[in-house]
Amino acid sequence: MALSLGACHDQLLNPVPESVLTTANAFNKASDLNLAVLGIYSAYQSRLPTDYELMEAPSDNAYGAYFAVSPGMAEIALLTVAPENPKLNTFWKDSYNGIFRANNVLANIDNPADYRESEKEQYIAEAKFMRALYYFDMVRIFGGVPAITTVITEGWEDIPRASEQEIYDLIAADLNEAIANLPGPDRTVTGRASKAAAIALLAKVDIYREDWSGAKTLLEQLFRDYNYSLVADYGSLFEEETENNSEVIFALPYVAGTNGNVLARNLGPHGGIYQVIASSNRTIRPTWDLHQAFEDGDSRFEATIEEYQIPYSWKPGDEPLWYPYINKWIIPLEDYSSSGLDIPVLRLADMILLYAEASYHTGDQAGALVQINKVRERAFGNTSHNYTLADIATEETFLDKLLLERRLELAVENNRWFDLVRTGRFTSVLTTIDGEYNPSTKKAVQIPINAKSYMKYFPIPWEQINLANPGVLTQNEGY
Amino acid sequence: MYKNFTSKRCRVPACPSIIVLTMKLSLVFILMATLQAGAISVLGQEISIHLKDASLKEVFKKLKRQTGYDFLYVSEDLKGTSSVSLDVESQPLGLVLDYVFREQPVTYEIENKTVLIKERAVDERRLLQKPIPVSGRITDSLGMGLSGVSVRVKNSRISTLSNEAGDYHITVPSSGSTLIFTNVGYAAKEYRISENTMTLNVMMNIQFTDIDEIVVVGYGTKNRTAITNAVSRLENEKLDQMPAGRVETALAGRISGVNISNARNTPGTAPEIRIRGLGSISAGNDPLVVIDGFPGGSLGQLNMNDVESVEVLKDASSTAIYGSRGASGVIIVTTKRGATGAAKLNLNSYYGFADPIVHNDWLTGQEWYDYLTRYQNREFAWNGGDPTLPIWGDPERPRTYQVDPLAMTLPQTVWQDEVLQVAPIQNHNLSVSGGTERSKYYVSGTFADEKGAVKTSAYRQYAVRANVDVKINDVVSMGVEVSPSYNRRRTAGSTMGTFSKYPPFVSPEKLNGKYPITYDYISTGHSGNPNPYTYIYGTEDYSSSFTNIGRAFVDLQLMEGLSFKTSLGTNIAYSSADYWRGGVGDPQVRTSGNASESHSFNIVNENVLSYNRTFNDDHTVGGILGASYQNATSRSTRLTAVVNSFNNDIIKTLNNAQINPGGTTQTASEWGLVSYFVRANYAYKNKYLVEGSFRRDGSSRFGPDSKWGDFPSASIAWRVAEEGFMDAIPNISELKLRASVGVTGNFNIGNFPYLGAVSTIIYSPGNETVNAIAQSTIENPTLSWEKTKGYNLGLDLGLFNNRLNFIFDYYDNETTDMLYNVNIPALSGFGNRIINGGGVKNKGIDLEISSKNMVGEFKWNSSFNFSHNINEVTDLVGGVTERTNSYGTYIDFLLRKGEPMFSFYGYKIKGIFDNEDEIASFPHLAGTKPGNPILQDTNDDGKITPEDRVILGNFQPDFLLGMTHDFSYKGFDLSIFMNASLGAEIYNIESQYYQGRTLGAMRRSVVENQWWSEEEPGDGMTPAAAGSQMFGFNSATDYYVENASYFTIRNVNLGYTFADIAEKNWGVKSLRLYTSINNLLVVKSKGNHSYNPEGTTQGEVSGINSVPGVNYGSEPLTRTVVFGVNIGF
Repeated sequence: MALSLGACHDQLLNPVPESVLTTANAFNKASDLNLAVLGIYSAYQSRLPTDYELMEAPSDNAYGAYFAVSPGMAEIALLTVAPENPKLNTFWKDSYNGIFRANNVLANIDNPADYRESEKEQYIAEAKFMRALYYFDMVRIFGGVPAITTVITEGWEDIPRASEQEIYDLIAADLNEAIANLPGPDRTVTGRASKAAAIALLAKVDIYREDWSGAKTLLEQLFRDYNYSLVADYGSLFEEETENNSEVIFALPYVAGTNGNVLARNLGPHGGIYQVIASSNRTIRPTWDLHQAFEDGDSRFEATIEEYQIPYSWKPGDEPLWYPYINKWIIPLEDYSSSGLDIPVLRLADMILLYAEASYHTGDQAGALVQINKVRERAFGNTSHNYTLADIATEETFLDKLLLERRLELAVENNRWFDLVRTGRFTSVLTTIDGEYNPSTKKAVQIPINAKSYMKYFPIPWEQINLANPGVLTQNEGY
Repeated sequence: MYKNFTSKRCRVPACPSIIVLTMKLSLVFILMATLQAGAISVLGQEISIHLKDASLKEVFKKLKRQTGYDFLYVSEDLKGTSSVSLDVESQPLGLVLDYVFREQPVTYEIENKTVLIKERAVDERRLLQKPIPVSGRITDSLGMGLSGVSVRVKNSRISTLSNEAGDYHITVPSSGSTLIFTNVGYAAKEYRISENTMTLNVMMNIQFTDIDEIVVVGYGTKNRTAITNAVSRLENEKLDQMPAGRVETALAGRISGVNISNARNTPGTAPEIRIRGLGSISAGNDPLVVIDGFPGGSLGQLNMNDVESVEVLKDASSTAIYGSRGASGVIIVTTKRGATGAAKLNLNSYYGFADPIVHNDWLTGQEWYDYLTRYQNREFAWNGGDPTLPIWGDPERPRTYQVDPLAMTLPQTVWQDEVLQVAPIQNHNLSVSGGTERSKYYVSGTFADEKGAVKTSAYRQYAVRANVDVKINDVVSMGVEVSPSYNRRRTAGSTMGTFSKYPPFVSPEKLNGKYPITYDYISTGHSGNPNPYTYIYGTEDYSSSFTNIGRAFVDLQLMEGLSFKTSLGTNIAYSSADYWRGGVGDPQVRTSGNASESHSFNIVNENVLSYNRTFNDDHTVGGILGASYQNATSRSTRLTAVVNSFNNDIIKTLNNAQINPGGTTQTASEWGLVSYFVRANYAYKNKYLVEGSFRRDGSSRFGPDSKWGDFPSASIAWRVAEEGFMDAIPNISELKLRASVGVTGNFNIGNFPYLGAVSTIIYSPGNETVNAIAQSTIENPTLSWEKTKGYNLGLDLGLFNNRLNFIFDYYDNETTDMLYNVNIPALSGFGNRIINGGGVKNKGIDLEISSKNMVGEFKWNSSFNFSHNINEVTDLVGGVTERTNSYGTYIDFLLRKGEPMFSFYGYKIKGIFDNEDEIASFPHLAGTKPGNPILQDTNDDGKITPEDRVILGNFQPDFLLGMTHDFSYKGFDLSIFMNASLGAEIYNIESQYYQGRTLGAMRRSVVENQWWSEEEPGDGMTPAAAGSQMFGFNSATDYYVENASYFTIRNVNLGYTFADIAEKNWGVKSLRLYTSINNLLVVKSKGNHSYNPEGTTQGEVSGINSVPGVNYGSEPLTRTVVFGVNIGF
């Protein structure tokens, strides 16, 4: 009786979860770790389509449209960001979730006994590459943040911020390890980190750290060891058929319908686009300022901005409407909220312009000029818009040209805000922003923006400061 | 002398209660005998003594105190003696002693002021046991003979019934026996019989409320008088005639302490039931539903026709017997069973229509155009434009701010009226019941069909029930219950907000093969939604389920008072949902679809040993000892179509589409519960009652370190009215004081929350979709119950022979160790984790009053209930005193210590800014424009910051009231049921749609009085209704917080019963025709602009991110009129 009761109790009280893996049984084989590594990328893939909210919206490229139904968006666009801003908190949480996944792979890496040769080292390297990428985003947004490099099960409330320097050191250390153990791009599928990706990322990190020669060395290694090349047609970079091209160093792959992104829906105009997208939100739209920055003949303009909307419900005879929107990520979609267009994080043109910057700062002005002009030649299809050494005679004018080129080449690719911040130019550039532009009156409403130098960092999310023990997470100056 | 004696000395109460009367008559008979025996010669010392049901020892003690006489006895001799009641004034001791010993197995002798007690001689005792024939007539208060009255000798099986004239004859075994007269609807009477009793005429009084009412409690039943905790009972008298698709709807407003609210008035939707407030944030607040003993059913599995009664266990001591599931209260439903007698067939059938109660202040044509023009001009001016530019056709005015004059010239449509309909509703139930002493049955079938007020919405139910009871012999009986039911529901494509907001110039007629849309006329600035008819006819959202609660049990009568019942119950549910959405010709609408199937199997074995016995008429001892084993398994499968992959609109099943692997899931899960429980109760003379219970639950849902939980309870009651001193207040027929305390739990947190779950997530390396994995929750091996400790103080009062009854309760329940999904630092890798922490308190009062106002030919009964609950957050874990939950760009929700949970939190409007100067001189939010509200600077720091937010209201009502009046006169009966809810607020954000934000339909009542300019400031409190300035300005304030109080005449039921129908020889035994009307009158606050004052669309409390009380367009209430017939064969 007692025995059978005991058995009955056990059966009733300790059922085995039938369709949920648990920490006890999920990470035991090499294949499990492989899937866990993909989990790290997945977290980044989920976050990436909304990164423009923190990385483009505050810049002079984009303006938060008045009908934005996205809480916190308008404040970012107008640089009136409060610690309570929900976008910041979401970004913080998503990023640390990705960091956790990387740390969790590292914590479980020794469990399996069935690794193939160098498989384990590759997973460690991928985890570290991704961890570095997350921290690179975090340090650029918030400055020094808490450095979490292991799975921590308690005491989170007492972990203070590391310094910006410490975070950069952590990133560099992770990337150096990644470079050592990642396979080359020829043995890597889209969406997984290759050695080249780690080199490119570290080079970019070095630029932010103003380690010009370090960056230069890495970029030279990148250009020498791997045969990346600029594609002829700029626009083809943002088309689904040609998304895997010779320019992509690291991209997050999306699949329409099953694993798509919402970028097109967020950027496309209300009322959709005829035969392209049935409905979209236009949470940000291009500024008139960005429009004007493009010279005539720049093929990047039409790949970036569309000013006349042909609504989805267009009928023959209807006139297109003046309604500018960012065109870059919009491709014809069956399902407007599931785009299959891959989003590159590291691509060659970015590296070329970073190389120009590194070259210039290490005294090679001519080399810098060659690099900028490579990008311009591709954009204009000829050399007639090339710069001369005279154009970049001083560091100031060089930076003018370089930042302009980066702006045009990499618009809405999450670089502009950081470029303005790292060069200290944001306080002078962001004094006003163009609001609604009226093509009939040729006037744009000027909205004052008062960028202050402390705004180089966004505030640490209010909730995270509150959840930590008092005084542990210090707020950035000015907030 | 005898006459003199009784009239002068014996106190005659003005209105004798049963026991006093018994005593008095007995004393009279005994005294007569005593006088004749001449025993009066002894001792003239006069004494006065008042005792009720006292033992001889107690009598001796009293007598000794008054007389100084000692009483000598051997304790053993007193063992067989019975208790006596005395109520004498100034009587000689001898007389009293004779009376005391008259029917005892002992007698007495007196020697020198000592009373010696000794055994009575055998012949004397035999004399006592001589059978005595008694006969008489039983009448009512008007002197009419009562037939069928049960006359029974107490503590024996001797009984008889009175004949047609009210006469009876019975032989009692000996003098001193007691006769009990009982008749349904009358107060029982008891008389003690002396050897001289030959004729005993009895008058019986109508008992207005059956105080011997049987109340169902956890694992048993009790007499109402024996209840020590807070239990409400509702019998199904005519509830099944109220046109309500669901049982909950019929119950709403009728029971104190129970808030049943209908957030969505759509067919088949389950209303929310909250018993005594909300005690949990994350683990749900639904009460446990026990249907015929099966714990864990749903009221949706029933139809009202089959329901015999509904009991609601409200306080922690009554629900503690359900342990880890009792915290939110328990609803016990008892279904009908057969009774001995010929087969009875009953048909209850009604048919009628539901007419939606709608808004009638829509702007159309010129009025609409004029409003929109002003609205757009203001927006244009705010954005730096020149509003004097022509509103239409001028290229200098951006498209966004133009208004096409077509809008006023096209045919006008009020979309609200288009999408709503007068909906037919019907319900038919046929039941057969009957049986013999050995076997009884109740079998019924139901068909219910209800169309919704919103076109295409519908609900249909087919149900069968069979309850069979078989008595094998005096020891063994058994029963079987089955209740298969199938229901199918169709939900309309969207909420009223989506439908009603559509602009009036868009036609409901198809054009070019599709329903026209706003885009066909306006290029931007509106919501871009498809035509409401595209939603209505382009959405097929079906859910259906087949369920059966079945049970078999065996009941063994082991010995007198002791029984054992073992049962096996199952609740099997198969559900499926099919969803298809298409554009019905509109290519702008994405087609989508999904299908899911799930089944669950819930099995419980319960074994209960029950004991209940009364000893010596005074000591009632009862209790249960039980063990319960429950296991529930469930599996579900879901398939999702790739969006826009349906080949056509003809085939709506997924074989016509591509399947999206990301939306395709299968899950299986289970939980188990092992419980042991015990309850013991003791009552002394049915006057002092005490009860205690204890349950120990083991649950699979909790961490390995805390699988088992203990749930004790205790309660006491004192029936003051049974005390002798209450005889002085004869109008008080019942007065009971109750007090209880108990601990209950809540286990509703899903099946494996304590584990660190690793979930699959999608990634696509090389553009190939793969199921990757990632840990999704943090493990917590100590995760345990949510505990609620509750106190209850109650008072039951019956006046005028229980013609007027009050049940009053005060309660105080505190939930601690909540299953609380607490936000944790993101450094953990997660945003939150589930822990035990935090607390919520509910305290309040419940009051139920019932009265028989008129009892003659014209009958008028009333019942009234009142509930008041105060909800308060008491703990938010780790010194946190408040948490705000931001609801997008709208209002915030506040959890703050000392305040009700999820209060609306935002800025308070003090006025409206008239001009830029005012803005400059008052604190304001950045970007404020004239026409935006002046916000209260609560902390007076000269800035408007989040610190200035204040509590603006709460979704929970403060007071609930219900009142029913039942009238009958001859064949007519009329029942009127009214209820009211006071003190709740809703955040009625639906109104923003009708103010211009999406350039759609407008309502006069929500656009008038607004600020337009300094010269036209409106009522000074209504901000400019501008879409561009709505978020963060109007929406974050009390502007959309509306009073949700209401009063309704919820149901009126008028019937006529045909008399003498049986004589017409059609086989019909009874016939009643009725009409029943729901929502005859609905009164709500003038400031409430919703269709349904308790309508909300974003859910209630279900976790820390809940946004209860938000209305985005809940469906209108309906005025329903049905005609019905009730026929018995």
